[in-house]
Amino acid sequence: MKAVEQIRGRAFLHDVKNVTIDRADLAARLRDQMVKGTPYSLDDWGTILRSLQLVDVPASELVPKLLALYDAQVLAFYDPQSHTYYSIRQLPKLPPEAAKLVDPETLEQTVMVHELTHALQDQQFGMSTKEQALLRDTDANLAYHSVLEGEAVLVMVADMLGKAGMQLDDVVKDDGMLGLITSAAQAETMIDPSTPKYFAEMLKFPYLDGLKFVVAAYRRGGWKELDRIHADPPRTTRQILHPEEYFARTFKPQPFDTTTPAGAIAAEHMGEFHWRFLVGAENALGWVNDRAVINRDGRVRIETQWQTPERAAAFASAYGVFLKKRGLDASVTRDASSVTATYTVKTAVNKTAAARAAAR
Amino acid sequence: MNIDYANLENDLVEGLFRQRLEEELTAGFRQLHQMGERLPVASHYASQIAEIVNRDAELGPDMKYNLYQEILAAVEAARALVLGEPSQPN
Repeated sequence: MKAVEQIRGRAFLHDVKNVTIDRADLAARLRDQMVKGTPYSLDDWGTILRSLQLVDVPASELVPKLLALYDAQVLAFYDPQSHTYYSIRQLPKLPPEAAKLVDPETLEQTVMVHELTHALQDQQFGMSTKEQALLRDTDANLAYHSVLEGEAVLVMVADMLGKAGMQLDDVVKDDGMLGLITSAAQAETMIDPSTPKYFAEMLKFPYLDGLKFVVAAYRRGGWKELDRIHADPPRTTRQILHPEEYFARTFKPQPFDTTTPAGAIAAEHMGEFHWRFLVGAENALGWVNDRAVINRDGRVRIETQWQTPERAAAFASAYGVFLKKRGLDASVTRDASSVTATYTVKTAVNKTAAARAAAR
Repeated sequence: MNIDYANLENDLVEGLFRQRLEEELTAGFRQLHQMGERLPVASHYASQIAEIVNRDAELGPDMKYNLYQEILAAVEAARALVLGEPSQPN
């Protein structure tokens, strides 16, 4: 705890509860966290991801796939709901090339610094309350999560550098060194190639792009700048991807209404991160806002807003092609800087209705 | 907009609710647009309006669904109309 306090220049308000568990118990704990951290039932969540064309995994495999990914990645974790630091007795099964590079004791200390930074964020900046408030806004939640993980990685890096007799301030100024750190943080080799790409990207984004955002903040004003960010965190992944817009206040995030309309499973806020994933970074540039409503009968309606009519046209064209490739009979219409897409996916509900109609 | 809760179902079926809402929204959106403000996406407004109307109405699931669809149609029509007009940013 002292190392985190010294690096971060902030003190813990009280001790952190620590519980050690066996790796065999991890899946159940993580499942519990997923249930608490998802505003829908896990079945509905699967339907939403498939309806938005983010994953192709069948519903029955979705949660096991995600738990398998976490099981291979998690060395310890901080649960903001119970304000508890969970350490795990056994290391995950590492690929042979990764296992050669890892000294278990160093790894344990490094991970502890990272997770205790989350405990400090919780005590000093009300992390758990903020996360709860953002539960139904996926884009804002991912943006905030990116600040938390980016900061925890930077504190961890500062600790490692300190042990090697180096200073964080010297390293963050050096683009070459910084590139090495971010590429090391990618840890591609640790992710099972059978993992759905969306899950892998969702896992990496807060660490990689979050770290880049936090480094941009640190370069501006050290850890004090991070304190300021906690008081007014970015509300969209666009701000994480374009830190200069956040610091210059040149992009004003639009409001997102989390109310689920009648007949719908969810109203989702996708943000630039998700559109990059679906149509590529170039076609997601200039994103302003969106709202995706996924109905129980399989109808999906997605409204998006863009910085200019030109950006809207580029997105509309790319998204139309994407949906066609996915075999969907979609309508994509543009009105100045707004693009609306509607299509219908097969759901358990409408599949049953179709089967009944065919049997008549 | 004053909502006639006693005749809401009838107004929804006959399209009167949608027509009145569209007229009111067009005036409001026009003000925002002329001030150079960006109009939020249609379903953002629609779900908020539906929430307000639902608070004081006792509607079954089907009628709630129809209400939302009517509101969404009104917001879309008002939004499209105003977006087709020139804005006058400050």
